[in-house]
Amino acid sequence: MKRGKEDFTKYYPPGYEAAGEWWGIGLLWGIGFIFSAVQYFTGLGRAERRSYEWWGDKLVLVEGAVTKPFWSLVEGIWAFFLPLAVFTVLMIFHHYLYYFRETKSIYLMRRLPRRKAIWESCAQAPVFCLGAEALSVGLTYLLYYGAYRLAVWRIASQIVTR
Amino acid sequence: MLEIKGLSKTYRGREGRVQALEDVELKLGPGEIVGLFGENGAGKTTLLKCILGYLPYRGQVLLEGEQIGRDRIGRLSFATCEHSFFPNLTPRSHEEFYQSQFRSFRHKRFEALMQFFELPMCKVLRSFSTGQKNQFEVIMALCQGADYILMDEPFAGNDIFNREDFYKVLLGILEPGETVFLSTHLIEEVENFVSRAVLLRKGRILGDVTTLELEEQGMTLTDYVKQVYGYRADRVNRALSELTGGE
Repeated sequence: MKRGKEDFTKYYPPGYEAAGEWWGIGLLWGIGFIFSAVQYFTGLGRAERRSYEWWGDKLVLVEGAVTKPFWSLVEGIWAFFLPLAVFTVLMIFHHYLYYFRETKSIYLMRRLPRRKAIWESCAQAPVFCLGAEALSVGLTYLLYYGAYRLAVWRIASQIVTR
Repeated sequence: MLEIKGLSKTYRGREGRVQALEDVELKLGPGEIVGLFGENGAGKTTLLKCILGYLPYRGQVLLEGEQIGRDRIGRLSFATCEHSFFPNLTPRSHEEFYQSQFRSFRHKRFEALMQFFELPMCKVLRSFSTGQKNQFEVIMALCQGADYILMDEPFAGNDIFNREDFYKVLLGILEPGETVFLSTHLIEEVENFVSRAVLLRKGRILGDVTTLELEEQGMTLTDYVKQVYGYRADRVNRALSELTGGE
């Protein structure tokens, strides 16, 4: 374990090749984001269109129309990130199984004076990833909320009442 | 002193419960080189794994009179033919890993043994030959800084010259306080290397003798093992003559 670059491996089982995992995380995050964006912006557009109508060449607010609340638009969107979360949790088991692959390095790990070492090596990176994923999903919601406010502002500034 | 008191181990097999070890009593003192012998399935590996706490068991394993907890586990090391190193790491990385985990890691011994066996320091272990992997496995067990070095068929796959070298090196480098508990089938080979022999059969200790006692009786270790196991030398001849119809 060299200094610098490989220092990060202390969050993984020694010698574990994590590149595949990072690809998996990136891919699942991307898929989750794309699907959530499609669902959210489709819903937002639909809600926007239902709030007003063209009256001649003017946009007018539909009588009695109420802006759909933000939370109803993002409802269930988190589910698109669920595969990512499941994948990340499964990483813990995958890390543990690594100690049985090719050799039985589990024997060495179970003999370490620091009892936690084995669990740290298995769970540290996935727990970190879960945190980062939660944060990124939070940021995604924030982004969507920004888009929502923008849409509301745009409607309000463009339309006139009847 | 490593003490094994009334150690029993049962497995649940397809045909019900299998008694792998039964009431094993054993004491290993500092500086001893003890050979653990027995046929396949005698319980050698199971005994070593119980001592190391890898398997649950009934009975007690005590180190200096106390249970082996995390604070003492570093005083035991293990070399196994299954190998316990990380295949993606180099020996140098292993050295760093061991140094970070075991305070008493023997750096000088590690360098000397790696040099003696001409093992590359910066090649990943996956690319090593089976013999080299075995050598490395034993080197790490010897260099961990443990007082009790347990070995389970560590030389399976090594050629005879290589094994001879290892026995000689072992005898040369071991310090008076270091104990080796070596499970092997190679009785004749380790005859001059071990100071005591423990014989296991069907999970029970059949014999426990020092090589000094054997010398006094004018017996070789091989003779002793054959005697204890009730080996019938004429069995093969009789079977062959029966097969060939006594021609």
